[in-house]
Amino acid sequence: MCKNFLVLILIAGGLMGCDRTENWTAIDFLSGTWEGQEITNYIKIQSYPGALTPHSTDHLLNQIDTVNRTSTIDSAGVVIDKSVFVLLDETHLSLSGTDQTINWAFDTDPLPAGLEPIFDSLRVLFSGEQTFDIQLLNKKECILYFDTIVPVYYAGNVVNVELRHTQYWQK
Amino acid sequence: MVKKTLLILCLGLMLSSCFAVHPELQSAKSEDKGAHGYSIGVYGGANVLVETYGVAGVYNYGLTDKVDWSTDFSFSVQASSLKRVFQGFGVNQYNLSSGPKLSVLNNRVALRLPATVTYSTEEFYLSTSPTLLLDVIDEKATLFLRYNRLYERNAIEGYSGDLVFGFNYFLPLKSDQILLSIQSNGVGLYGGIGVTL
Repeated sequence: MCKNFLVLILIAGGLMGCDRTENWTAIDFLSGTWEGQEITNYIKIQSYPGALTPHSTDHLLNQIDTVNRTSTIDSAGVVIDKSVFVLLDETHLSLSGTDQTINWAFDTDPLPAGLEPIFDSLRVLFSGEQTFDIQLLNKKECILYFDTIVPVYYAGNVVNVELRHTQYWQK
Repeated sequence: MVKKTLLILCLGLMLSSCFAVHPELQSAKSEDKGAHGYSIGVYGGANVLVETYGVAGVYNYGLTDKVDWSTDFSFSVQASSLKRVFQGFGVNQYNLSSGPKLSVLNNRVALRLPATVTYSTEEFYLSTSPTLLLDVIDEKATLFLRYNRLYERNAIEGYSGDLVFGFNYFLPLKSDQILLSIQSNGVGLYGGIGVTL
């Protein structure tokens, strides 16, 4: 009797320990609350070495509601951004940003004020629809990435600035 | 015009902040004719944007008693921290410089005139890196000044390259083979340790 009970306990433990994400798709993995880790923005102009501007996002939570297709960004208990998303396929996600998105997605603090024209162009970029590559997505980690060319207008001149944006989230 | 120049200067300052900040792992002294000299080292540092970690090495071959053929390489990763480097979030940069090194004034002053190729983020950059080396404190230390000038011209023509200045100190250990290096490009501070072989 005691032996059977022990066997049952072991089987139950084994089953509970099984990975139940075997048949999960991207939408299943996305669902839930993600804790921010880091966002890196790499800016470069053609033929010149670029600048990496990483910033910590460990104060952010990203609540992904896969039913309503929303992503809600929370900073210390305050909702600072809410956008809708469409999962295009298992490796691509389209997010519609808002005017607030750049405030947490890009850290302008360490950069010189003279770069304001770049930030103005990036603000437009982040507030629009953006397709991300899902570089990594599992039960614990999510890495989203996009790169694009941003034309920066300044005093009648156009400079093409390349942006490589990476978001790292953990559960 | 003034506004455009301002933008160009800001872009140049920002973009140059992470480029070719490796140490000069050598003194002004040249090798004897036909002799070889090697140094390798590790370095790291940070600017306001990012941290940099790397390895570097130098190989000198004595063409004459006063002229070496000097080649150096470096590999570095830029990221927010060493942890992120190991997680694969960094931006890699490879530098290879090669060219003559002329030592004068009793081997206390040297001028290197190498051509440099840099590879980073799927792009190659060609530059020239004239470097002045000056031995001081009875050859126990070397001051260096390296100007890295990119060849390519484009929208930000006002960006003419970046200047790195630094200091090597040869520790009085193991026949002065171990050196400490500190260098800066004006927006970041970097240090390293190397060994001459």
